[in-house]
Amino acid sequence: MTSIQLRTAALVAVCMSVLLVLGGVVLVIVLRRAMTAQFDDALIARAAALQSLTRFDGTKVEMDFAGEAMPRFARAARQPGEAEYFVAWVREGSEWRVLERSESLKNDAWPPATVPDGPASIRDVALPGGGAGRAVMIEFSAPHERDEESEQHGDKAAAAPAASTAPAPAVRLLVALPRTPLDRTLSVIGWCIASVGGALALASIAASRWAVGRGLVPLGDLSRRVQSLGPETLNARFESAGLPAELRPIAEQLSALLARLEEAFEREKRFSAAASHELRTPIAELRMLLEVAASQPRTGQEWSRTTETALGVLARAQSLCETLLRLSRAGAADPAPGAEARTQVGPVLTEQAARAIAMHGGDARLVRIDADETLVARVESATLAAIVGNLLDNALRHGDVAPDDPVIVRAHLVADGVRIDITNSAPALTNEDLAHLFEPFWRKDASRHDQRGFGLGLAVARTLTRASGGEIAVRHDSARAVKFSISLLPSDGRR
Amino acid sequence: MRLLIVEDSTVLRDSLAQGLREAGYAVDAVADGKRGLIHAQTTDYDVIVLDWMLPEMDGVTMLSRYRAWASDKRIAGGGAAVLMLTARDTLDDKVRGLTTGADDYLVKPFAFKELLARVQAMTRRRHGQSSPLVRVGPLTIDTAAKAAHITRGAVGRGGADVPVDLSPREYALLAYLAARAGKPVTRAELEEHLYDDRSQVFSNAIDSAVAALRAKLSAAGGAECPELIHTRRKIGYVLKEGVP
Repeated sequence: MTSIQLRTAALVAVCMSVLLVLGGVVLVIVLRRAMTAQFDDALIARAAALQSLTRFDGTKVEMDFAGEAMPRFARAARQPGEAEYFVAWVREGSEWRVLERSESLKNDAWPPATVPDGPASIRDVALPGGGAGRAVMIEFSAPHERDEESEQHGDKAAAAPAASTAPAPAVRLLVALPRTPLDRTLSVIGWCIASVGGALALASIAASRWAVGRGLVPLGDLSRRVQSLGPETLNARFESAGLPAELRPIAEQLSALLARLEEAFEREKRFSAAASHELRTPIAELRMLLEVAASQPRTGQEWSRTTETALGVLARAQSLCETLLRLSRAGAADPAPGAEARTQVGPVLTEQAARAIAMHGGDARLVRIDADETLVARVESATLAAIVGNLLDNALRHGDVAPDDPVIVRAHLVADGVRIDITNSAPALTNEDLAHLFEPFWRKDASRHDQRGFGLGLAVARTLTRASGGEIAVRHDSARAVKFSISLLPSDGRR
Repeated sequence: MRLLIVEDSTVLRDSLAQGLREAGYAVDAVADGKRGLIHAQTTDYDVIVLDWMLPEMDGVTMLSRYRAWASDKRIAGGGAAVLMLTARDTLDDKVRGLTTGADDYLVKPFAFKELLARVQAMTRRRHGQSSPLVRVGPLTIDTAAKAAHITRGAVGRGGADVPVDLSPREYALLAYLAARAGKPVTRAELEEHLYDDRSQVFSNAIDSAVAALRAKLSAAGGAECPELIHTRRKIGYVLKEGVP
């Protein structure tokens, strides 16, 4: 079962059914006991009535039973449950003699066994007619006939038994009533409870399903909205207001996740489109160059020029592939450099500044370095060189750099490591541009054939910095200048 | 026919321009959208080959501004036919390019032959031709093969086809006159469509070219061939069979 609604509804229905069954059983037991107790009271009342008919006249015990007064004892059972029975015994010496039997017994030898030895509590018995009954045995001494008469006349003095009067023998009276009416009533009550319980159990299944369904509507809505998500709907967000408290954190987390996913998806899409464009361009150039060249007979000089141009295109394509590989490898590198990766920052900065100056005209005034020569950071020397080299190339290629407005490189110790700041004028860069600066292939100009680079240098610098356990950030240092800040681990590797 | 290439890749731009010039087109080439728009607004190009991602102004922006300008100026057909070139190959990109006003779309990298075929088809459509074969009396011009011949004897009844040996410039002149067959074409219009910015055009260049073309048509058609290129005084020329 995969549906929470079905599972919860089934659990609720099962629980309700079990509770109904238990309640029904308890109710039946209580009712049975109460009705049986009531029945037993009636049985004892019958026995007491029969006891009151017993007399002792000083010599023998008599029972003044009249069938008309108690017709159920007088008639035989035509159907189970109609007749009632009694047998009275009187003690004569060590024997018990039958004193009286109800007419309903006719000639039935009942009770079938010998006379019960002594009075017992109320018990279930088998009746002569074959039905089930309930019987009570009482033992008593039959009252003197004279005593009763005196009591009736209110002569208390005469009521005292005469000393000469012989003691009355013990009498045992067994009275049995059919329990068929009781069983029938209990059966009807049982069936009623079972029927109502079954109907309630069925109703509880439907009710629980409805109630659970209603309760899970917000979850269902959320589920449907999640199902409808796709690459085209990553801009969707889940409104948490109005949702149940249990679902609110899920909706908020989903919205946050979607925002991150959308950002990553867009970034990846831009990267794929840009990479695809960059890789297709040299192919298109080469193909067009060679197809046009081959479309007509050419002189050796023309072929030489074509070959030279083709090699230039290939060199650029090769450089692009190598940069992309570097970016990919840097991204897959271990996140933290080992303890042996300790690099003196100053010499690397000087070396990279000299290289960058040589590549961009050779004027040493274009870069100014302010660094403590003894500063050491936990980073591979080649990695630091690549990071700084890319940032300096970027500044000299795209920045508004001049001998009187150079790139300023400053390295210093900060509380949590080593910081290298590279600042240069770049008045054209807006705050919005800064958000895209580290994206692969991003260039301020839409043109992708800018011979000044692929737009990968800053992406490589950031990937390498992060792979070294550091971070790189960019912000406007003034209205005209931007500052790149590289944070590196200190030499002991602890922040 | 005169084409404009707006492409920022130097290698691609130069190769395309060279290939199209060798195919008989007059070609101007610029590297950015701003200059492309200025060129498109000042010269009556037949086809513009336009890259999408350009410096200064991207291709889509340039195209939409060009179409808006052509609409304002009530230029017939909305201006030149535009073939968009780009490395963007998603359906959305193609739809966006075409809905902005491009007449065709080609994804990089592409074959030069395909580009040439598309340019030819676009120039035909621009001049209302559905077939690459244009017939004016006994003269037949195959714009796909860039060749012409004259049928001697009864056309379509076993007459002999005599090819006309034309230089690329002469073919371009004949093709343009054939595209406007029956309508007079001014010398200025011919100059605009036959010579690009690199050409040095002398004042009598068109007259000289027409004279050379007439001579070749006459040589191929023989004495029975009627005059096909007629002079309209103070106007220009018209290509048609019979008396002007």
